[in-house]
Amino acid sequence: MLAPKRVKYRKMQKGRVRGVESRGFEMAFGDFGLKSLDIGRVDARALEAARIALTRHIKRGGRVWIRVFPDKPVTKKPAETRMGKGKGSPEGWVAAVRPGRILFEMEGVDRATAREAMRLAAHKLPVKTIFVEREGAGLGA
Amino acid sequence: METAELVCDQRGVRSKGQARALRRAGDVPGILYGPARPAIALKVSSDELAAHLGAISHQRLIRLRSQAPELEGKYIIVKDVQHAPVSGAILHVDFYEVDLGKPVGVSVPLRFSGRAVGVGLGGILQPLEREIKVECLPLEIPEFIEVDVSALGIHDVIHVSELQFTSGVRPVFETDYPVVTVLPPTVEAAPAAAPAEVAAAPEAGAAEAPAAEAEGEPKGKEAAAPGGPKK
Repeated sequence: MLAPKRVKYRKMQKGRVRGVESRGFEMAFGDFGLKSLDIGRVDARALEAARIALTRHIKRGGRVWIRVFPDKPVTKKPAETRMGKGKGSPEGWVAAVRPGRILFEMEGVDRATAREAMRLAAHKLPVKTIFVEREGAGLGA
Repeated sequence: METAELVCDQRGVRSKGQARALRRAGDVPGILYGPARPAIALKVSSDELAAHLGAISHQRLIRLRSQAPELEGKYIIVKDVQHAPVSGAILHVDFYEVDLGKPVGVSVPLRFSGRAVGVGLGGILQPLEREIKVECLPLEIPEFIEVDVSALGIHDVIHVSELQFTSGVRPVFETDYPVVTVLPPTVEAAPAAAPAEVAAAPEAGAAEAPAAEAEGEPKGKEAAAPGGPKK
């Protein structure tokens, strides 16, 4: 699973995710992509599940890029614990996602395969998504 | 190369509110500038502009048609286009006025033709560049640069210096950068891991340990020096 190698502070304030993306909303590597339409937190496990769904569907051939990185730690208090006594312990890592963000990109497969692979991957994610493609994708070889 | 025509009109006030009103009305705010002229704010029809900004004809030569004398008959290329992050709608466009007698630097898309030998062996054709910068007269801007990839095997690379250009078109580059390559086939990891798990269970457990360690690394460091980050 994706996680930072080392961090300066192991716990972070929750914060709020607002607005739409101003960066990372254009296709940069592949021909086909999956774009988020929602605000949300995508955790490392969801990203990994989506990545596995993508690579399993395209089998051999094709290349996948993950355009988000879960660098925000989230904490959780143990079950049946009274409130107080400080912040809970780190539970995992999430990527804060805003509408417009490209989550995955793919190349080396035909449009139908890419669309189906992205559909399967989208089911693993907690945000609403849309299949996007580069202008002129599939031109030439 | 054929020249397209685009109808545009001058716009007066250059405010955020006016730009938004234009977009609601189905127009796109834009600007025209060039080496020897002050910038002029203009507007174009959204549908017409989208038709001109196809994948192939992004930086083709366009002749403006307008009732404003400052805009009528000017030859331009599209310098920049801003898109909405979610819908992808065109928000703003930059036009650059060109002198037909002077060479200009433009980005021309690459079109890959043929089926690479490496792709037949299971490799993946990986374009490293989608468009390249060339210098030529505005009337000689090619619609695309054709790259024949049929001879490419796995790990083979075509560099920019190996591309074929028509006369009058000169590529602009300092280092001879790669344009396209064929990557070796990717192997799915999951099926390879499954038999290993069955054959040697303790080994699988050992393989999991570093991953868990990597995840808990900050925790361990924190535990070693609890006073530091809390401040």
